[in-house]
Amino acid sequence: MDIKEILNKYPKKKEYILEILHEIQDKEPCQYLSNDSLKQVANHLNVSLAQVHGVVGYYSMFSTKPRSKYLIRACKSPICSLMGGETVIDSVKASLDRHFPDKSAQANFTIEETECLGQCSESPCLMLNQAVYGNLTPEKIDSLILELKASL
Amino acid sequence: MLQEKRIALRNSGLINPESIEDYIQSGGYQALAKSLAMESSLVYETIIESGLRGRGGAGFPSGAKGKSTALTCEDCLKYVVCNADEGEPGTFKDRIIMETDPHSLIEGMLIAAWSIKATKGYIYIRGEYYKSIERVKKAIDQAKSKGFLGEDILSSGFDFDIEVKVGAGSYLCGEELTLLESIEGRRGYPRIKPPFPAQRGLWGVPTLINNVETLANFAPIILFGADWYKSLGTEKSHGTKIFTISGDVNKPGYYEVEMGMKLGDLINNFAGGVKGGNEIKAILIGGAAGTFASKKHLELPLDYDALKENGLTLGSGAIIVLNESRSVLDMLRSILSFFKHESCGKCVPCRLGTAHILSVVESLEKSNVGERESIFLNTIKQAEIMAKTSLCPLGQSPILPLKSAWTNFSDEIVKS
Repeated sequence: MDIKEILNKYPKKKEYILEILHEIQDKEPCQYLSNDSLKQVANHLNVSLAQVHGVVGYYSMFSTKPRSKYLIRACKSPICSLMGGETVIDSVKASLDRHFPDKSAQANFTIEETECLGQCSESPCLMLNQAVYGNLTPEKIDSLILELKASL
Repeated sequence: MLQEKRIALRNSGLINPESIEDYIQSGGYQALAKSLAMESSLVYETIIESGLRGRGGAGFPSGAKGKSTALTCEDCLKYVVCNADEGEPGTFKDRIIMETDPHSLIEGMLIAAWSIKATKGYIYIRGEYYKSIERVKKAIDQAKSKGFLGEDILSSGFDFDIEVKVGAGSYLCGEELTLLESIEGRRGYPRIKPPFPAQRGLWGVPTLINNVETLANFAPIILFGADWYKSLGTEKSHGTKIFTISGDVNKPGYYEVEMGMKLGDLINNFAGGVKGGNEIKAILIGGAAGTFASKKHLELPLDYDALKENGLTLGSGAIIVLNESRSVLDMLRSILSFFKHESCGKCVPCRLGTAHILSVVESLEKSNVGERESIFLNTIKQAEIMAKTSLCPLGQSPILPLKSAWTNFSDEIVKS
């Protein structure tokens, strides 16, 4: 990924910081923001690295730690929790254990919790990278993981 | 037979959301042409006359906000901002509008911009709404190519452009002043108000901020007139509202109905009644920053005033149904944990208060039954103090579910 190429698409104005961070993170295979890329963002926008970290640290969609090819965000909103969302993460983990007994292969998956995804009529739900999956059951989660296994 | 009345959702599901031709064929952009032929002040006067109130949750009269922004200064730079940072748990109406009819939002924004003579607009969409972002961006490009956006729109001499800004996972950025901070590229900390955005908004200039659903109502109001809109709904709450229904119902989803529909009718006739043949125990209206209603409220008309008289709020229109097997206290904990997580920490009472209140309510079951009432009432008092000493609606919100849960479910809270 060429960060310069991304940066050059945006005017050198601080108002574009969220868009820039999103694009860098989305194009990074491990879906995170490295300190080196944040330094380049700071340089481009002519602000201090601390300011960039300040913004990154505030917004929960950004991560400064490497994630994985597959980022699973389980909704833990009051509605999804009501409709069985509290078991989603456990189901994902159980399914990963089943299909990837070798734990090192699970490195392709990062599991996070997120607040309301606005899919409440299909709760409980999760987001896999940029796609939403709703009306989840342990069986549905299992077949999703199986599908991902095939595409790895 | 009760029916939906779709105004904000007039094209939803009927047209291809990615086709501007479809939108134009269904009468789209006619209201824009009509507005541009009107005195700009007449546009906001029409919105005032219609009685439309902000559909994002606060319910502030939309026209009055436009007028105040327009009158702040005559020929100065002004902005229109669309708040599409829909994060209130249980709410997904704005997503449906953006995914199924993005041009209705763009036309509404154009009309709002003309009414205050703004030349630039921003649509701030929450980062998780990938499809909404894609659809709105595409619609903007199409509107530009057809001459509805850009310079000298429809040969009127009016220039207006829209840029999409993308959030990154902060509930708080749905608060209007915090949203402006985020657009400017900063951490989402609330600003002190006044000054209101109508006076000093984005980069310090007068800014009109409206919710997606609010703006989607602008074109029909201009096209069919304020009297038409006013004839819908109740005496004091005009027009329609999109309700998003979730939880223990057979047909969760979104339904746009006239204001004043009975809560019970909405749940039974549209959402298919309570799931599992159970009875209703509670209805959380308005999301996390909402209020708990009980069975006795099912006959209440859904309008701003009738709900307020009963200690309830309409909020963003989220309706979350809990059947009799559910625990109100569990739901309350879940809500309080949400507020704790989303508190930005700028105001100390909110930063400490949201955590403290959660810990008290979480350990309520461990306390003696005889002491629970005083513990809970004390927590309500603390939430009241937090509401008075926090800058933004986040610190002011936990009191809503706490107080209404106590008013309607004190027996259960004390005994559980």
